[in-house]
Amino acid sequence: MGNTSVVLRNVSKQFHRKTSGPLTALSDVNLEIAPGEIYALVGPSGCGKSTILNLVAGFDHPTGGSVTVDGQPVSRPGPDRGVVFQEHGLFPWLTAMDNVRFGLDVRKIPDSAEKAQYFLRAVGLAGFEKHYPRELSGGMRQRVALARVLANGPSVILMDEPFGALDAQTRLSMQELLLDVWTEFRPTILFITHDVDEAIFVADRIGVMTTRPGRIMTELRSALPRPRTYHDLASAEFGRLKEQILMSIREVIAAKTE
Amino acid sequence: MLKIVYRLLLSLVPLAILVILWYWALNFGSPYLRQFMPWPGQTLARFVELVLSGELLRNALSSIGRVFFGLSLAAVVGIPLGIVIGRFQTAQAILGPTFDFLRPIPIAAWVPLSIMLFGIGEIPAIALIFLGCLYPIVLNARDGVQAVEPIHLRAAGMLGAGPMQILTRVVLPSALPDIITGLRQALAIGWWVVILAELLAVRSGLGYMMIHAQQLWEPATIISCMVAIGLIGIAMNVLTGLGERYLLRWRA
Repeated sequence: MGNTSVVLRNVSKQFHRKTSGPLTALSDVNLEIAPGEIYALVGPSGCGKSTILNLVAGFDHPTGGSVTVDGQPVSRPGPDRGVVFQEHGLFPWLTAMDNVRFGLDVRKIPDSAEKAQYFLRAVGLAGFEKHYPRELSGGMRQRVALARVLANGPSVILMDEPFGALDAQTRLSMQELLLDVWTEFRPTILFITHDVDEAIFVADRIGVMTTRPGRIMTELRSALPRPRTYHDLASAEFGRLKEQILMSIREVIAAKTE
Repeated sequence: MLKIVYRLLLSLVPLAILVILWYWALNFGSPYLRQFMPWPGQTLARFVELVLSGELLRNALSSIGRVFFGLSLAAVVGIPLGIVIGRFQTAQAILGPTFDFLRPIPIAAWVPLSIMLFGIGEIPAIALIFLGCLYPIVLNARDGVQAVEPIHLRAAGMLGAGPMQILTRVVLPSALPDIITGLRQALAIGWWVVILAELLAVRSGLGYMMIHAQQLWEPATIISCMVAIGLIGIAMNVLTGLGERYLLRWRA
């Protein structure tokens, strides 16, 4: 492994629409994420945050520029880039256990049951192996979604507003869980969110995006120490980062309305 | 428990009214009616007799056997066909219009041609059942495949599944509810097609037993067969409902 994990170079993305002309979702996006780093992308809705994630995941292809992960150009989805979706990503016909085993089984990895068990325990779901997704709460489902990605041992985890649909308390405990899991496995994480507090709490670096065409306007490095707890949400460094991010977002909105 | 008994009693009200009307018609209706219509009691006696002699069971089993044979053939052909049509635009373009054309032709309309082609025997009966079962199986499988959540396809891809694994581990289970719906509709259709086929094209089964009884002037036998057809239909529906509940236990 080199000293970069995810690299986007001069990436642009246009969508072709039937009714109006082409929509430029991303323009000249440059991004480098180091191995083991947590990088959060924040920005108003429609700024192309999820488009960036889809390009890294291989669900979609850039119109221009290049996307590489561990030096390899991305061409299609793969187990080296696990994705945690906002919702409905689990297979409802499989139990929690079988959802976590899915990736191991399709890749014919032995002892998938033991491994799945281990990762379910890592996300605090021991005892829920035989539950179907509909029998689990929203937070628990996202734990399963995280466990099935972790089980594949990906070099990058892509999270697309993973806690956006959860209530505030569950969201905080999921953020703490994510940091625990990160401490244990040290994956590279690209974390998409519109929640500024969430971005500051989880990330090493935060990119603020502009809208249409979407590009990364500002990057900030967090000086919050690790391991973090909810006490850091009330620290001076947290306040400083939040102020800077909010200022950047205000500039984005002001530039847009002018 | 008391509620169940109460509901059972309520459900028998139409039957009670029917029996009363039946008695009333025979007592006060035209004397001609009495020459061939049996009394309710006589009909019940005939039913019991046919059950005890095994004749009803034997013919019922041969009807049920035909349905399952025709249905199985239709499932083996129809489920893959529906999946292919649902997954590939070209297959839909080739086969869709043909299905749209053939579907409105009632199965009964196929009877004359199938008797001419295959004569009297098992083959035309199975062919008719197969055809009747094929449409709901294909169309429901197609709908199920088309309704697969895109996010599940993405999830499978990012977890490392290849195209074949996506088909067997994602598309198939997520289409399963629709496939089961298709099979249940096919069973109901198959059950009425088999009776039709036996009335016309085959010399055993409940349908044949009825047409034979008509020739022998035995209305009690005909009514007994009709009751058996209804009871078996209910039993099939209940059993397949239980099967569906088990297979789709992951659903709410």
